[in-house]
Amino acid sequence: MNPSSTSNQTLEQVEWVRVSMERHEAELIRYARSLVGDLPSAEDLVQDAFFKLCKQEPESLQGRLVPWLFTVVRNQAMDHHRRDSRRPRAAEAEASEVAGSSPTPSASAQARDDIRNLMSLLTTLPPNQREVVRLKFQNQLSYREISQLTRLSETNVGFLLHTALKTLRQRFEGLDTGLGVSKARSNLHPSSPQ
Amino acid sequence: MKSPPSPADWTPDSLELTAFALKDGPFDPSVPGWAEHQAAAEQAVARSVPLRAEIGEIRRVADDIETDLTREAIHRLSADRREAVLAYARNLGRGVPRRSSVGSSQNGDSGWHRFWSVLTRPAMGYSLAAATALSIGLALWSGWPSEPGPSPAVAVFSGGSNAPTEVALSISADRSTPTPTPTQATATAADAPLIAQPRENILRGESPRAWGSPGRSTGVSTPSESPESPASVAALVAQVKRYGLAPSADSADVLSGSVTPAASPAAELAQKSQARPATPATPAIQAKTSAPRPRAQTTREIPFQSAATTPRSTFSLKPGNTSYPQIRKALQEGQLPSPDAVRLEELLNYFSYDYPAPSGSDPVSAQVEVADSPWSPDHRLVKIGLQARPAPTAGRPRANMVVLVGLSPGSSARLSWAQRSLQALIEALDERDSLALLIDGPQGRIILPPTAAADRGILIRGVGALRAEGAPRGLEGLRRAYALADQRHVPGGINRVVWIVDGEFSAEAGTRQALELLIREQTEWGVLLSVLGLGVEGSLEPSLPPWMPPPGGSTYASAATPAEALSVLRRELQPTPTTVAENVTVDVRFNPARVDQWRLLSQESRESATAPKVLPTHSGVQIDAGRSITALYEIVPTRSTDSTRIGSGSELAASAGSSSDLLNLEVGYRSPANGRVQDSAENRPSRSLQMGVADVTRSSDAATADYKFAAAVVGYGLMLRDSPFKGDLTWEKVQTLAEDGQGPDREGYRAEFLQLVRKARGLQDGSVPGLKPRE
Repeated sequence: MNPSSTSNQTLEQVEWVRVSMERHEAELIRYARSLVGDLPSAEDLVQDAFFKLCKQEPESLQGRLVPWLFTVVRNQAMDHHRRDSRRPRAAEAEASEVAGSSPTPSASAQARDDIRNLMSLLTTLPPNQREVVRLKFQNQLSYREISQLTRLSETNVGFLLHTALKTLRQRFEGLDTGLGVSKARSNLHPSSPQ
Repeated sequence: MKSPPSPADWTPDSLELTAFALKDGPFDPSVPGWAEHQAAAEQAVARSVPLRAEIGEIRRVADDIETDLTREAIHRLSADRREAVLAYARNLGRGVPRRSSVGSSQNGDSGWHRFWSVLTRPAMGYSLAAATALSIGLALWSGWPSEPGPSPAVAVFSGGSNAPTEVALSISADRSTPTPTPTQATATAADAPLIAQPRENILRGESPRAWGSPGRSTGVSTPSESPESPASVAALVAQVKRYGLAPSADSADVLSGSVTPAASPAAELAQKSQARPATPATPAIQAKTSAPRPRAQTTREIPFQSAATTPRSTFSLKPGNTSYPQIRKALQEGQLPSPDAVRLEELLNYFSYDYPAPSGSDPVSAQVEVADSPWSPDHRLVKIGLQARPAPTAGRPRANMVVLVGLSPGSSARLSWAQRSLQALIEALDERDSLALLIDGPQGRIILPPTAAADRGILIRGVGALRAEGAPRGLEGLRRAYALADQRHVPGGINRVVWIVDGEFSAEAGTRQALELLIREQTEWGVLLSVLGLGVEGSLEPSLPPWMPPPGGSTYASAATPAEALSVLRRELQPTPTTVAENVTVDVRFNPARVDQWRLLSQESRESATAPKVLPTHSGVQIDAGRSITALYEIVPTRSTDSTRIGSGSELAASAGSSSDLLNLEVGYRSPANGRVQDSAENRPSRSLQMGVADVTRSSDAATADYKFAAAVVGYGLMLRDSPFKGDLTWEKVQTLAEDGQGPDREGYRAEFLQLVRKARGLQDGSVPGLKPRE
């Protein structure tokens, strides 16, 4: 039906889009969800980002595909917020994910509760810190990439992360009354620094 | 960062310290000037205990956050959403010019692909879209419909763009509409392509707003979207159907639907019953496997040899493995196997026996057991077992296994095999490994995201939750499986997707290329694929559908029984087999003082059949870790223990060690090369393992379970061949040996054998004496 060169080119393009989806859709959905709150909207944003990707040349995004995807998702999320300004702004996705739990002080030893605590502590951070923490630790983006994506300076990104980590540490320790939290937590992930 | 304070001025609260601890910002090794920053910082930090302590704390918290955040639930795009994107990408390649933006960038919510987003949402999508489109279609297209009995439930989009592919597509929104007869539907399905006649694109220039977002209408009209949009939507929808991975029967529905605009449930049923044979059995596989097999050449058992003239023997270290499955298949079909299909050495080695692992530096151990032959009590039956050193389990790299279960519904037996095998696989995993499970079905459900094997209970529950969820979709399922494998990719480890199929493959021919690309790409990336055909006899490959790419870096295995499935799965957990010994030779020397005649219970190999006196030498054979080989010899002892019969073999007899020994076994080998230059063959001396085997006189009743079982297996072969060497063997004796030889039978192989013995016995006893078994 098509000249084979065209179909080969198409196949490559489709494969590129497909591989990009495979590799990045999950992290993008997580990120999008942290921005807009509900999962269906997050999926919408991510799907739209991939629709946009279809129109890009692979070469043009070489080496910066991930920041590009995140940027598209982020910009769309901003649009989403503007459009939906009538609706109350979606409180962070985490709030619902942690089942609305306020930090429970007795949770120090339990692994699951530990995670919950951390997640709920995350929701207490200002949105810009929260976003940077996610991008850095969940999506493994570098200061530079985060800076490009958020249009903040690198120093600013560094500052947000620094502050967020400090706050989380203090709050986490504040949570823990009896047991040394740091001990409990390092037991939790004995092999994490690999 | 602008003019950062010199590391010498850092305090524990410096934000640069955080960057340093995280190896990011100026301390990101990919950033220019990194080395200087790094050196200065390391120097400053080395001098300060509080800074070092703070770095430790930062890293620890960062690790915790990272661990927790990466544990957060993972969501993926639904298959429909993905397919929509891919269909769009394909469509772009078909002549629609690329643009820098898609749809309306000012208002992302109104982009035409938003329409598609809605369309691809489960449940409501199709009917809403169809209803919307319907009204447009009715309003704008007076020429439609021309077919008799127009169905109000079906909309036909006709897209005319600069692409040469004009498309028409129907979406059946209301299946209760009266329809043409099924015969019509099927007839058109065969010869009607998806591509309709080009028609004027009456929708061109219409605002896509009219199409868009029926689900979330904002009532705002966006003037003049990109003109390609409406056509693209139609094309897109068609493409999805065309390239979508709907099972073939359903695609037939779609095809037919494009011309005969509706499908009632009855018509659909009729179509399905025509598309598929009445029996839900595996058409592709059966067609292939029941095709006449090339007739095996007539094989002969190795006859007795005189120890005086031929005191030395050897046996194959690489017996084949097709005989037993062939026999089983014949018996299951209620037929006796052709005697040519029965190869004693293959039957014997189909089973594994307990042999001690080699001790010390030897890569191989040997174990010999002697007792009276169960079928000729004045003969001895000698069982020789070789066991190669197992692969070091401690050194095994971490395994990241993803199991994709693509079983068709209705094969609950196979599902329970898959479950049993997977449970055993879980037992074989260790704490560092991970396993993910997903179902290849319409929903492509992920049963278990990649989960550490330390959470064994979760894994087991996951396996218990496996279901067959409708026709497997092949490509889509595999993509998801690879995506899961990606999540826990272990560099240098065992990254493997195991794809369990049952032979009922259904995918469109067009997916082959995509599959091939996918598999090749993933194999290069380090994720290997194993396709395991459950319930598939013999080799899986000839049964593979044409769209399945050739193996390449993947392995294709078939398992006709649960036990075989288990072995395959276990094997997949192993890294590439390691050779523990090379140039392995086996030399069995019979002592003519004790042995009158001997016979290897084996079929003559084709080479040796032409030169019966010369047994093939099995030199240069490698043995892989964990492998075991078993051989049985039947021996006619000399009538007396005096040495009167020693003739021409006397020198050899002397070398056979103590004159009371029945035989002497020598296993020669060379340690495998380690890839170093000095490891040339000359520098790796041949070594050997020797053992003398004393004669014993004891009844086979007193032998070990393994021995009895081996005797049963070979005896079964003798009975099936109606061998001239079977002595006074009866089916009853074979059955008793098999029953006594069950042992722990952890994998269920021996129990299955016992069933086959009963089956063969019934068939042979019931057959008219003298009647040749059917082939």
